Amino acid sequence: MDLKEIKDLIELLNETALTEIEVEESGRRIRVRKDAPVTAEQIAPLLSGPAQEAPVQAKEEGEGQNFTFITSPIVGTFYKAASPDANPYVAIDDRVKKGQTLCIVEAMKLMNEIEADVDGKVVAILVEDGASVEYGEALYKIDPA
Amino acid sequence: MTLDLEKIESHRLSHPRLREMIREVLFFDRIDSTNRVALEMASDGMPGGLLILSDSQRKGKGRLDRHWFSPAGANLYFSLLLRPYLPTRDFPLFSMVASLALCDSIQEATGLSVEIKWPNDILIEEKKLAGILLESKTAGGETTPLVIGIGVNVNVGPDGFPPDLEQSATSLKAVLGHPVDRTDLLNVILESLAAQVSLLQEGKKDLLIQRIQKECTTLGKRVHVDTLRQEFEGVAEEIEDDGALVIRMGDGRRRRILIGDITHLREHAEHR
Repeated sequence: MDLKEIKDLIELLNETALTEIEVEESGRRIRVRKDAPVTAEQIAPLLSGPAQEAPVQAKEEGEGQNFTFITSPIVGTFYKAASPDANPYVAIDDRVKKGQTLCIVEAMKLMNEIEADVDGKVVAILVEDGASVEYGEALYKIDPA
Repeated sequence: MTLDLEKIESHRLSHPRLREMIREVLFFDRIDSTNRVALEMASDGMPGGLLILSDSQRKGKGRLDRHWFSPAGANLYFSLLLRPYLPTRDFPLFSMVASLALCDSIQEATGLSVEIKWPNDILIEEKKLAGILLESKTAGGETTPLVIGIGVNVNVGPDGFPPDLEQSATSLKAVLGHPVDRTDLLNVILESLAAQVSLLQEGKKDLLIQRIQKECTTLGKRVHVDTLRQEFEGVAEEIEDDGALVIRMGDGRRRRILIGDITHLREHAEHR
């Protein structure tokens, strides 16, 4: 299931009186639920599974919202800061500029710095410091507004 | 012995593969970090094929902002900026590329048998001879630059290391008992690096992994692993296709790791 299909599900949900759709495909189950209008918050965890060819940047449109998700280009370990003693590069609610470093993902002594590719506000940090991340996993949710 | 820049340049020009990998060499007497300069130049749009070489570094970089001991006139410190035609997810394999290149070239230049400790430390008699730190940047879907930073302890005397490194580091001079020509060594390393880089760029990942499985002396050893979050011990059993190390734990479980400080423990697996 790719981003497009998830988006289609959300659209379907929004167009109907249904409040929940659940789809199971190759062992991955995705449930989209509508209490209030479906928002991107509900989508974010859905994007965190292993993807086939995930883009580095993923966009989702919720109700009037347009968020950008920064995803990991490699399998590795996520760091919010340059070193264990340093301050995190960014925190929630920080405004970031395009080109600003957000985090590092490390694998086999390759330190991959990930930069914001839009100006915006950090709405959510979706991974814990030091956690393993998969290729294509969403790391940050940015509100480009 | 100073670095002979003309010799480095003529060597580069007379080797097609080297000429292809390195288009420009920038030399500094003193710099904060060759990796930092290479990354900065990459951010300024510098194309791949740049070699930054320095006689000393004020803030030589190790993993997670650790310091790399970088005195003047003794060792090699250089960073190679590449823009590989490979997906970013394969970039960690350049760790293997660089460690094999160092292993081959140091053996060729000195006859010494060196070991590769996963993922990319170069050891002699369990002491660190050379270190590799790779850095890359991802912004949107754009091609990421890759910087391969290498430090080799060449001519620091046995008493030349600071106290915190005395037990864990070594140099070619300390092992051989005589100094080594840094220029000749650098030329051999670069040649070997060019050979390994082109192997990966040509898509021969399998060959690379086969070689690392053969050369990496971490395999078969009992190891201590420190990932900052966790510490554990086990036996290093396998290197997978993506370079990950598989550790068999005491309870029989297998753990796959992609990061961490590995210590080879004296006690070998086969003696258990």
